Amino acid sequence: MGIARYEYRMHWRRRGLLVITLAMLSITLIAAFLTRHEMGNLEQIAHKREVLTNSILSLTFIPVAAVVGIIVPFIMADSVPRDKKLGVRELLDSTPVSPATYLAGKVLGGWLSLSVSVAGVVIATGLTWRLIFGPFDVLSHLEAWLVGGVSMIIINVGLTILLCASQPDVRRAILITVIFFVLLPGVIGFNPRGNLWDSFNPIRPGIFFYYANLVDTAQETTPILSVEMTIITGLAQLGLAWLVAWNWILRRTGHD
Amino acid sequence: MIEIHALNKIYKGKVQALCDVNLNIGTDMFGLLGANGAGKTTLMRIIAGVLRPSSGSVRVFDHDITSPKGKQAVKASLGYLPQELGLYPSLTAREFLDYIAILKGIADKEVRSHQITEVLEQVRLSDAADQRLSTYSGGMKRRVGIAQALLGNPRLLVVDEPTSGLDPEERVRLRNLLSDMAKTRTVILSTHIVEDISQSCNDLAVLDHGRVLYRGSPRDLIAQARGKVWHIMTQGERPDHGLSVVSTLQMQNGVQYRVIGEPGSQYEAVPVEPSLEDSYMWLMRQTRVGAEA
Repeated sequence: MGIARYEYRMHWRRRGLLVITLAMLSITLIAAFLTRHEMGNLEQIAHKREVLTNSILSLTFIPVAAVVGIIVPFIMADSVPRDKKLGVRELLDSTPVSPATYLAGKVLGGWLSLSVSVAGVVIATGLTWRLIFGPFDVLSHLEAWLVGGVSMIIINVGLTILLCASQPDVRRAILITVIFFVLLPGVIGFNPRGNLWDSFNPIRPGIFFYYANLVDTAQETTPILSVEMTIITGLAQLGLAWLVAWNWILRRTGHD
Repeated sequence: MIEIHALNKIYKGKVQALCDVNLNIGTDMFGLLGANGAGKTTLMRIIAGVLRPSSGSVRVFDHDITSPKGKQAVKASLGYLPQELGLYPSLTAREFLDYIAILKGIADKEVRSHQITEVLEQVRLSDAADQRLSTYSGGMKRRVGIAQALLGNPRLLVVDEPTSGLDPEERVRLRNLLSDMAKTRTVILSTHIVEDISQSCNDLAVLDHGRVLYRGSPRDLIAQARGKVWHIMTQGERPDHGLSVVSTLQMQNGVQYRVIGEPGSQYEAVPVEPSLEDSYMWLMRQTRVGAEA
């Protein structure tokens, strides 16, 4: 936990996380501002609460999930290679902490930092919606973040840190991130009606389309990627990445 | 305490950094002297358990450093200052030391806090302890490096070029601090600054191209160079004929050269008592001459 705590502190003191938190907050607040007239006329609509709930899910989950899926990996990519770049790695290697604990601390610190960032956005947007437009289904809003948001954070942040852990420098780590989080989604495609292969997309279309309220599951005739399947596939990817990182740890323990 | 036997290290690219090194290092302060690229840092990194040797054995406090269990045991009682130490610029010195203390396994927060305050005082950084490391000068960063090595009261202190980047006053202070530390533990000091060794070590090894050229006390090394160091006064022309010039001093009546070797009768050479630096230079010169022969 000590490593995670300091990792958390260092993430927040670098500008990247602060900038994306403010960006996510700005995007969702701008969305609220732009839709204020449309939402203001909801007094006449019978299902105001339901419409407001759908709107907050769509207008906040889309930008935040896109940021977590695509931008955040670039901030987390250098978590391990940065230690080498800064010249701290040799000192860390001389301490009795095991490489697995060190790596786990890095991952935990990444999860913690981004979770706090996203929690801030979720609370701010929820309060904004409540104050400006009126009551909505808070539980649905929370579910979207606690299930959809947190699982995306756990999978994508963990994957990024573990995949980049074995890279010798920050540039290579960024290259891996481009391949995995930009090129791979391009190759796989972004399809909510996909098969198992589509669920490997790091943008996590199963979670994204469901919680962003972009697919009406009741109307669909073709099978939709389920949230559960997407999470299971993501966790499997995470497990594979851990094996890759573990193999790297075993090879580099003691260096060559 | 530390037994090194037939140690070799060959890096990728077939660079032999250490060649059949045999050393026994006891408690007290041990100096490793050598030019840049002599293999000092490689040896220090192997002793610290961050580099695997190609062959040979290293036993530290009866633990085999080449086995994972032994390495772990040695790391638990080690304070290490690498030659090139980086710090996290966004942390303060106190936070950085706390982080390292956690990694060293000091779980109790109060114990950590007490030790951090103590080591910060020892390296005279108490006043700047809560400033970000990005604002520190090179010398201050080096002192943070020394402070982290002292955390956990290690039985073995391995310090690689600890005085580089320090001003003369800080260098003297650090040497005294390391000498104090050596009263109760093993301190291995690696440096290419001869003065650091001469002022603080009773036992040393000289490395050159990965081989141990000399192992013994500074006094014995100086004794070997006795009768080989001279002062020669000229009107400016540099002494030649196979002599190595150690220093040059402009005087009112000419230029005084301090040389090593066998000066011919053409010079009015005056024998002088060798310093450790002279002795080191003489040793290196002998090695070169031997290799050429």
